[in-house]
Amino acid sequence: MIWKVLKSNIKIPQLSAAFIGVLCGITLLMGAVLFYVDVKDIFTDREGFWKDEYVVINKSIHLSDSYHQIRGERGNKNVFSTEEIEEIKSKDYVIDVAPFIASTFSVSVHTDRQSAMPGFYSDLFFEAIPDEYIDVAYDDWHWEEGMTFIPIILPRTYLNLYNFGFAQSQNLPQLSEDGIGVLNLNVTVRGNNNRENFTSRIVGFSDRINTFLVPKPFLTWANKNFGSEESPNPGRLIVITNDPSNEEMLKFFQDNQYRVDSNILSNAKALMFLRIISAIVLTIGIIIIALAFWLMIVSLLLLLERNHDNIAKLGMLGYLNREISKPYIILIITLLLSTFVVAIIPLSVFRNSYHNIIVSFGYEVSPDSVFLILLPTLLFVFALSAYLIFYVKKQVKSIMLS
Amino acid sequence: MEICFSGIIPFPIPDSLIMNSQIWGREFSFNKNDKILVMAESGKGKTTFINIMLGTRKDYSGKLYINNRDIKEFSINELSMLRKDKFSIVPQGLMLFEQLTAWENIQLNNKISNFFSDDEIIELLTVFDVIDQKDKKCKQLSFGQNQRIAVIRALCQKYEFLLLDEPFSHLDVKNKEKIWNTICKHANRQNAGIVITSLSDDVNNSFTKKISV
Repeated sequence: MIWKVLKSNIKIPQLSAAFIGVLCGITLLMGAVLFYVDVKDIFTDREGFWKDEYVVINKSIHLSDSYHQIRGERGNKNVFSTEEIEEIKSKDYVIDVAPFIASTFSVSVHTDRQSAMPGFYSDLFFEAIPDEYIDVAYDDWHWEEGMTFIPIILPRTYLNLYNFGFAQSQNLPQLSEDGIGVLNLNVTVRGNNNRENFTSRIVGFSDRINTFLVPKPFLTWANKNFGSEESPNPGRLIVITNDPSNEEMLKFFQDNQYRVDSNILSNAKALMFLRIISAIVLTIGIIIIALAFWLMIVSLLLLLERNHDNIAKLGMLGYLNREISKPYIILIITLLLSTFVVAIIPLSVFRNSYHNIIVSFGYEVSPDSVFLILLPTLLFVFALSAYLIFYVKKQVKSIMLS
Repeated sequence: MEICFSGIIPFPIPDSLIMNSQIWGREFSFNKNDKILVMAESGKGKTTFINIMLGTRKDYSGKLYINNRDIKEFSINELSMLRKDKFSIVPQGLMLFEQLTAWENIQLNNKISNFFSDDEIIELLTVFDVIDQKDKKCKQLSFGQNQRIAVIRALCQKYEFLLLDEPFSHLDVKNKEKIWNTICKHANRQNAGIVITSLSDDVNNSFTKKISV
């Protein structure tokens, strides 16, 4: 009967607007949080897509540098000093730094005459980094003094360059990764009036390191015995960072004219944009829900004001605050719970839309994430309801006392 | 249940009214065995007297004690319980819900404690000569008919005091007497007191107290 008294002043368009507002807000909030929960593994998987980034940096080379080096006026190459390496290491966003060790001796490589491949000869260079920085692990990746076999790791891009550029233009056979791996190479190392021959083979390919890699013990030994410098300053550094999108790091590199691998930067920018978009969606969701919440409060306030006389009369008859507030409480709970239930529909559509993309990256989307998001949202809805119920009771009390 | 007015002076009220009043600024008490007629001309504070008892007006000096407790100390819930169990009211403005029918208005009060059965309410409607109006919305009824509906509504609950604020202002003498007798019968059945305000001493009954505001 009380409901019959109080419902007469309810304005359906106003309540509908509040319902749609809360629905949009809750959907955006739940969507943003659900998306975060679902892709969290991708963000946190250190061996996966967004693993700790290995950033390779070098100093920018300007035209003037080339000019001076050609004229022999300045001997300094664009290499990193010990102080510069220590400075980079000291940064919060840097986990570790390792120098590229360059060969300071002459290297040439040629194929066996008996090889099935067309014969070739080339001067070459080697570089080395600590094994833990290499993105692939191969059984043959090992060298110790006395061994005459040197394993080599080649950038995968070089193979592609050969297969789809050089081989096609020179009418040479294309090579598979397995095929090139069985090709025996002869490596000759010269320097300091010494010369030594080694056998070699390409044991694998790297997507991360863009150079001819040999094991670090070999290069250290070879530089000592054949090199012009035993420990040359590195021209390139490999930096492990926990956040490749760190703006402070990118600014530091820019300020010091350190050039960064463009792919890494692209990833960093993608990650940064992803974060910005997530933050924007979350912010919009919060703004919408705040506005909808405000609209609900205004609607309730108007409803209570329109029912001012009715509430006062019911109070005079002896109805308790909780009895008068009850229809409003039922209205609030029904409205908010309905938005919660209805929001699950667009949320399911949204989740399905990105589910396949995540799976295609090789990650699993846990079905539990839905429950992880539903429970806090339900608590959030209850918290909103609790505040609105408190607000209604306060207003009803104020009318009863007026 | 005892009600005690202790030096109550409502704001604002002219000094001349206080001088001649038997209530304002005086010590005055009554209990549920009393039937009190409060008489005064318009604007002398009859409705204020009722509203102070109900706890809806607090703009006065002095104290109103209900069972030795100042009504200003009552919480909102205690005031509601007071109106639910101790006082039943026919306000001057009637306070009926115009969008509801006469029957629904009566049930709104009756349902709180399921005090009367439907048959008992129908009997009252018949006695009060408004049975034909029971399914009409109150906004369609005359003030006199609404007055009778408001009285029936007031009788449909437990009470220790029936507070009637000029309940017969729009009733003829015949109806007035019939309704007054019914009110007294029901009040006696509940062993309850009656406080009735009126412009004059025109109710044919013996009151334990007749006071002028």
